[in-house]
Amino acid sequence: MKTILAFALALTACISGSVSEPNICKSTSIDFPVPSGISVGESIPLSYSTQVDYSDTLSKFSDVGDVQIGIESDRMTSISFDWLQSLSITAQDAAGKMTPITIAQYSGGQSGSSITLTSGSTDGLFAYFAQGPVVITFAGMASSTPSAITNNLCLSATVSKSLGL
Amino acid sequence: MKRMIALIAAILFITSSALAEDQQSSAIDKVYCALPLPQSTTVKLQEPVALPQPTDRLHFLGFRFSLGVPTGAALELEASPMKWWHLSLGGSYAGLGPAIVGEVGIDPIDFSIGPTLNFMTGGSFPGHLPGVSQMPDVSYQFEELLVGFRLGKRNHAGFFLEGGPVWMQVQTNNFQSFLQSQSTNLNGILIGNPSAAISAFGAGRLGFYVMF
Repeated sequence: MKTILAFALALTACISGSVSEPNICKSTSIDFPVPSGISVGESIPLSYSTQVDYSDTLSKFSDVGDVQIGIESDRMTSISFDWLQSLSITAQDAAGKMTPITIAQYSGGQSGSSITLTSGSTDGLFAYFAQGPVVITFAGMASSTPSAITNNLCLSATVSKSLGL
Repeated sequence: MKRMIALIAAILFITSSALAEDQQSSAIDKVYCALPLPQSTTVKLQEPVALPQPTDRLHFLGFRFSLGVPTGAALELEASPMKWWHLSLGGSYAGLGPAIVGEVGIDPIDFSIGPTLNFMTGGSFPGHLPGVSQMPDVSYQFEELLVGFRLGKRNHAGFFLEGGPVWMQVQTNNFQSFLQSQSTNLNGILIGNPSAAISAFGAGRLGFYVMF
């Protein structure tokens, strides 16, 4: 009888749940500087960095339960992307102690006014953004003078928590 | 001589009356013989008529009221096509938005106390706790399986106490507006409406029903 009662009490205490946030989107306007000394017909190296800090918000989520974040989409818009040969977006902690990870990349082949980047690995992505400021670097190559672009990176997050059994 | 004549007259009168009766009887026999004879000639005596007894008829319609988690206060119109099962549909309020709830349940044993099994589902309109402005609008859907017992007369009226597992899906609305209203520094981040999926052995309710 005691076992049955203990089991019943354990059942009543059993609860599990997850909170999903489908879209956490950040738009970044990028105007790549053109390095001097590039001759005509030569590929132009692209590099742009920006620093973000989501650690305060993410730490609140991690206090609740296990957090997993993924890259929902990464889309860029511009007048044209005929000039873009390749691009990669990497993240690294501002202190430079962690190994950089690739968030998304583009290796050409798309045209028009918007392109979709291939999402990179999400392993350790949460650790990157939760530890403190993160430097996001856009680096690549252009065949001609780059146009201004807007990058729209959307992440998804899930917080899971179980209590009881 | 007079006596003799009177006697003869009396005999003639009686004889003629008897003849007349015979003729009538013969005519009636002919009519009867023209009718088909009944198959059985057994005559059944009429049994005494039983007085009408109160019948345990089906009470088809009624209502059900309960207080529970996560449904809150629920009032449902109930239909019982058969005595051992019912369908109910109604509304509930659990502090957020008003909800529509429905259930199907069985009550298989006709004792004054009996086990019950119900499957209940429902969904709410978006809303937030009264007096609490610092929260986004929330709506939810749920499914729950309730096992318990009923105390009272089945298909008439009774109390019930039930509990079991529940599966809930919770959606938030206007989450971005809510964050902005809280002066949260979003650093240009756009945030969609988060949702939650919850499963728990936390559903329960206590209530009563009345069938008419």
